[in-house]
Amino acid sequence: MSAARETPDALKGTLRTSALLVGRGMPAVVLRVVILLVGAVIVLVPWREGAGVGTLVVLLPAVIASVYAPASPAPAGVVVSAAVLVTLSGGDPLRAEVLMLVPLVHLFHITCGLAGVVPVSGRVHLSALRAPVLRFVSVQAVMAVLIGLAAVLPTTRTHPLVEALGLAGLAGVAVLVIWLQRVK
Amino acid sequence: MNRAREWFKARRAARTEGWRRTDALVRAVVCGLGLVTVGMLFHRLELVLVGLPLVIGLLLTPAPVGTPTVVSRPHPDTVDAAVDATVAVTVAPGEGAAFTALRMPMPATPGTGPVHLLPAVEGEVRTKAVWQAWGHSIYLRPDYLFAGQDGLYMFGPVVGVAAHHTVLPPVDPIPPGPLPPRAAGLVGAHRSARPGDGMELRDIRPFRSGDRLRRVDWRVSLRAAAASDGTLAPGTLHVRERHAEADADIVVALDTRLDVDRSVEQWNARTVGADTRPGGSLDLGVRAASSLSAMFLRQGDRVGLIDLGHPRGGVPVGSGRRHLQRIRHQLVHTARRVAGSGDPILNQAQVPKGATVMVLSPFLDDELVGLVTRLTRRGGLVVAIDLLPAELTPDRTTPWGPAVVSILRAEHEVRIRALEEHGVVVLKWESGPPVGALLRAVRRRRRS
Repeated sequence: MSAARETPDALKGTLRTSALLVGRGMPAVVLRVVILLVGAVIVLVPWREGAGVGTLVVLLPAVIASVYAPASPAPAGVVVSAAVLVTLSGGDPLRAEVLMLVPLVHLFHITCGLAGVVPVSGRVHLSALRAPVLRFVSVQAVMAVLIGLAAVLPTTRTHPLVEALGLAGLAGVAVLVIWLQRVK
Repeated sequence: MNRAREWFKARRAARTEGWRRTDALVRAVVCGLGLVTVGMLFHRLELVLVGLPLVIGLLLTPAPVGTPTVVSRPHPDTVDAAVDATVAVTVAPGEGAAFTALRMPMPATPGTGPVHLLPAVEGEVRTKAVWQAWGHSIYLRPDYLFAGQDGLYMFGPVVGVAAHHTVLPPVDPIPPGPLPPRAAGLVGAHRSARPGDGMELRDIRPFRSGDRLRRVDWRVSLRAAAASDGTLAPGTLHVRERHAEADADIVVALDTRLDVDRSVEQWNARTVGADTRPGGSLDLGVRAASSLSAMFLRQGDRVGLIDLGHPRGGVPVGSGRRHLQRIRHQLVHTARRVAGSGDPILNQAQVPKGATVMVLSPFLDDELVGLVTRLTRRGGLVVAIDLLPAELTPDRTTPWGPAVVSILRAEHEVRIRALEEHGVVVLKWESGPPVGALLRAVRRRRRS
């Protein structure tokens, strides 16, 4: 399928290089299908860990609601319930299920964000997805470093000072986020 | 107090105007920061790990600024059908925008098209367009919405300004044919039956008083002189007589009262998104009228248009390229007003004396047959072009469907036979219309 692509070389003499030639793209329903697939895998993770009731009562309906209405509070329900269900299952915090959930929840969040700005009858062009894919990979690379760091850190009781510093740092991050997200 | 009111007013305006936060941003802040905070407080690394990518995404996303705009490029109001064109809009997304959701036509597909999710690039966004269907339509309405990274912010949606245009009916090449000349014509491209100053030889006859000397055929005259006594006496002089060349008028009468296609079930249904049924009798009639007008105007004839459904919908006879454009515009205009069956209206004053009349209709009523047969009494050539589809599909919603089609067919055949008995030349408008050959045949028949 052809996506919106940059102007062919033959036309570059007459057009600005930033001109986009709109092709057919792919149907925007593909984004909903991705949400459904990623959501299905997210559902499977706590299900395999034995959290059957919570998965069926909270997570599965939230995933279905997210497919129907990605620009709604439903995806938030998926993020929170998946994290809580996996945490309540217990076990090693760096086990495979948790490590699998980290990129899946992030991908679910991004896909819902994109599906929320384009109608289901619209068309999505691959050139539009290049930047979000790069961002996703970058964020996950940072996460891989942080997870590696967490894996080598001692699991003994944390010093209260370190914990206080951590909480202060979190407060700083919260302030920074709120500062950055001011709409000018 | 006033400052507080202003602040609340500004907050309310921020929720509907300009860049605003989306559910994705709320989700990232509440879920991301919330999970990280709860995870740190309760020493649960799983919560921190799940929430952290959302927080990192937030830290990497500054709020967009500026007012994005989408401006459509001016485009001609009138275009020819089936001609490649480019529709373009200029996009200025502003700082921090990552996506443009823009309604643009699909390549080579009519209509305003779906919403395309594109990268937010400053510059022109173009799409290639080919309008196959003629008529008046909206070809571009660039509704737009801009979004920040990960869809965390959005601007819009804003409804774009609709751009209208008229797609003129296409002109298909038709082999030309000779028309009967107008009786009162003095000049033109067609050979008339009368003697005159044309190019085509009519006869060689003895010289008469008043003949021009340049008309003398010296070869015949010398031969005639040799056959008598060898002297060039007045009785031996012969002159070449030529045909006069005269103008020809043609009137194309289009039946706009009915628009029927192959499926009888759809005859009463309203067309959606178009003025006419694609491939229906009116579509076919408009295309045929456009092509016929172009053919005859190209060979220098005078062409007029009659709208059988509306007495004021015609175009008087005229000639030239501008006249062809006028006829094509009028065809688009008249075809927009299909308003059910009524009596056909043809004012005798609309048909010049000696004009050839071409009636384009599916011939589904007797009134039109009566009108066409009355036209033949004026002495001009009348050609009926039958636009009823060759095969009709019965209405499947009623058991009477096949019977209705049989009756329609039988009545239609009776009408066509009645037209032929009154001297009307009837032909079907199909691929490769044999109008030129037909006109030549009619002419030969009339001469003999």
